[in-house]
Amino acid sequence: MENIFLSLREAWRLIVSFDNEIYGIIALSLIVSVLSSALAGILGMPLGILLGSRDFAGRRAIIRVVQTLMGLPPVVAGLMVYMLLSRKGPMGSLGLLFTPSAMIAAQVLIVLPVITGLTAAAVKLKSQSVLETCKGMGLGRLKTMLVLVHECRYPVISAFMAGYGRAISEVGAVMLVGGNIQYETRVMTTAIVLETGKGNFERALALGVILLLLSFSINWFMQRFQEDS
Amino acid sequence: MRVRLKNIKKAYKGRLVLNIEELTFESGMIYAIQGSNGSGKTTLLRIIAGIEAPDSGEVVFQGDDGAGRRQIAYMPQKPYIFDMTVMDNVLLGIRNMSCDSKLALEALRKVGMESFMGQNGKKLSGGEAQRVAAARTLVLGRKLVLLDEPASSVDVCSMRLIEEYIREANRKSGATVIFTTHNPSQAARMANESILIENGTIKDKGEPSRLFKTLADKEPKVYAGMRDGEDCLYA
Repeated sequence: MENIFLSLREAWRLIVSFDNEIYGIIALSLIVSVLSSALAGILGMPLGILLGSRDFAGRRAIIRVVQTLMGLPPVVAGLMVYMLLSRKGPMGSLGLLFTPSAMIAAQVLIVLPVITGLTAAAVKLKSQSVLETCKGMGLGRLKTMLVLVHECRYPVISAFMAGYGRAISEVGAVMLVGGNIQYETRVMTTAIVLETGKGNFERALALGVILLLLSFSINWFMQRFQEDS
Repeated sequence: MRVRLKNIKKAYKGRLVLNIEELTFESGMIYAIQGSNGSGKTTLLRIIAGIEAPDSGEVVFQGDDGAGRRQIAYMPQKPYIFDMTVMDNVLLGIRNMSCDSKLALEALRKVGMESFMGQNGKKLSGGEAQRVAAARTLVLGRKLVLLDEPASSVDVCSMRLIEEYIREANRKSGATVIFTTHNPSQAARMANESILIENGTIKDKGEPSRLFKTLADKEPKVYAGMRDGEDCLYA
């Protein structure tokens, strides 16, 4: 109990100290997670809408693959990106390994199936009613799709938030492809692992508290946005 | 618009639910499709609307400007109301038409829903949703109007309003109206011709009042779709 109290005090101290390293870690965590979620959203949402609303050959097989990948271990995703970006890999010449770009690429791989799968499931629930109603009203394809997106906007936003949650809390892939380099690729989760390894449990837990506060703030903001809409 | 069905067959999981050799709906007429639950009424409307494809046979649209399916308005049995205002629900299909707001308001007034225009469609009761769906379908002014039990969840006054709006759509734009109903007295009031479907096939068709009597005398199962005392109210 005392440890938890000390951690909360340490978390508060870290927040108000405006320590450059800590704020750098927080900023990089946010940049990597938000960018990877956004990229995965740009790709995953249209794919999810397509899978949830259209019937075509191979659709079920794709859904099964996506659902399987929703549980993709982050370290496996990290390993795949590592092999692609390592010096001997097919994209090794880009020199992206151990950079934030590599971390974003790995997280896109992890988050994409989550956003795609959850979007497809949400759209599937409403698509038949919406598509039939739109057809009955004689709406064109584009307008029908816009209406479908409008009707599914809340679960689609939730899918995005679930993807973001997976990204910000992920450690295995960013550790592998980022390398946890101080001032370069260290994010909150890898910093927690490092501090725990060094025996600085209060500092590790304090970083965990900050991570939770960040997630809570973003989720609270998104929920308010949904409620106000 | 004239609609002709030829050798339409539709089966679900091996069970034949619709088997119509030939059926023609003449332009500018009102048709009531009657039959017990699961007789194939909804499937018939969905095939005409193009929502479902028949396993075999064809639906031919004749007359007017040859616009075919673009001239169809279809209201499903359980209408889906979009998560937007009642007004926007009605406007959705008629945007780009001149005076669209006036048209939408007038349509809502005709079904007694003008005071709900700013309310979110998701907050409507089943009967209110059905009235909005009727307005949303009929305001389109299409040449073929397909209504699947358009007044099954509404009170007597609202039923009258919807029926009057359907008649007006038929009268003013010469639309062919095909609606399904479990209510023989409604069919007698509204339709020029009734079609009785049982087990996916046409069992009888003709003048609605004759079918009304036939149903009452010989088909109590179908006739039971009518509520108690309704014939007294509408006779």
